[in-house]
Amino acid sequence: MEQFLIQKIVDRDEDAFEQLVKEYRHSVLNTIYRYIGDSAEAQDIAQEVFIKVWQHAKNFRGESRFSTWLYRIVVNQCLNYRAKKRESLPILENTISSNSDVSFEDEEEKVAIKKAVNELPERQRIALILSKFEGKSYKEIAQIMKVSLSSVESLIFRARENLREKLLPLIKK
Amino acid sequence: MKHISKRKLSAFLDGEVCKEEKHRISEHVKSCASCQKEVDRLSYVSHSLDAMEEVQASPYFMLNLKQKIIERESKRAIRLWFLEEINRVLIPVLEGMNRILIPAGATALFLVSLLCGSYLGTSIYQIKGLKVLPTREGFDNFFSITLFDNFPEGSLGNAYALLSMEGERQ
Repeated sequence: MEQFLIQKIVDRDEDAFEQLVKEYRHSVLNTIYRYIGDSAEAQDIAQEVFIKVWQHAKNFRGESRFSTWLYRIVVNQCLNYRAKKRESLPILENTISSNSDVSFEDEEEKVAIKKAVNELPERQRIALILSKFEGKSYKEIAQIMKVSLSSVESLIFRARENLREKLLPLIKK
Repeated sequence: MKHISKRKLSAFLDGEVCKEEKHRISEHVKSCASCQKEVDRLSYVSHSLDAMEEVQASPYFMLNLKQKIIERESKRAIRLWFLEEINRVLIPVLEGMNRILIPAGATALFLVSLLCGSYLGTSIYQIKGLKVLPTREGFDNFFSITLFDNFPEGSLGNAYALLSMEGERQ
């Protein structure tokens, strides 16, 4: 099915492209948002990802799953963004949750968690986000990040360990 | 009792261990308080991430995306047209220059060869002890035609000079 859509995109079928964007935009946008911590920037980067899909669809040869190819673009775009913004840490947004009756403690916890995730080393963070939020298997993460399976296992474990250290005050609560 | 490594427990929580290992770890965790505590800690970290909020795509996401694509493609089309125009104008010019450059290059190569040859010839005669350029005047005249005035004994120039002198006598 995806292969069929991609072929249509290669043939410059805008409806097929729109269908593909609708299917993936939420997960792509949130992966980027969790990685960079800025929703406005995440919208722009997500659009850049889909522009790359439109421009380079002919390069997708179907050797891997489409989502693997797509997330490879996502990871590269995120890493490029971080490389450009390395000198300035991302601004943490105090986004108001859709849940209207959040207590101050919950909000404080959210900010602390977001900050802790933001402070993780890049590769640990991307591996954790792909595993935890996108439900990607270690095998697919390895293909996306072009690393070995054992590296993914190690990256995710170290991400958890780092988070645990950072969130220790919350755990003790 | 050998504990399960933290790394393995992390993979276990993600369901990334084989069937046999999953069974082995489950059995061990049931009977090992220390490993159970570790699983709880790792689970807490995983569950705490659920608190991270999601963002919704802007209602203009698709519209902005299409606009960006149109802008990029028009820029690309202009760039391609510009390159085509450059090629259209530049290629004939370069071809014309080739007609000049090749003979000019060959001439320059010939002149360099001539100078190198004369310098080498002079150096060889100096090694042999024949004072071809002993003075400052001689050095100044190195690149001038006077270099060919005093031909060494047995050289082609010398033979030519002798022949021309004989011609003058007759």
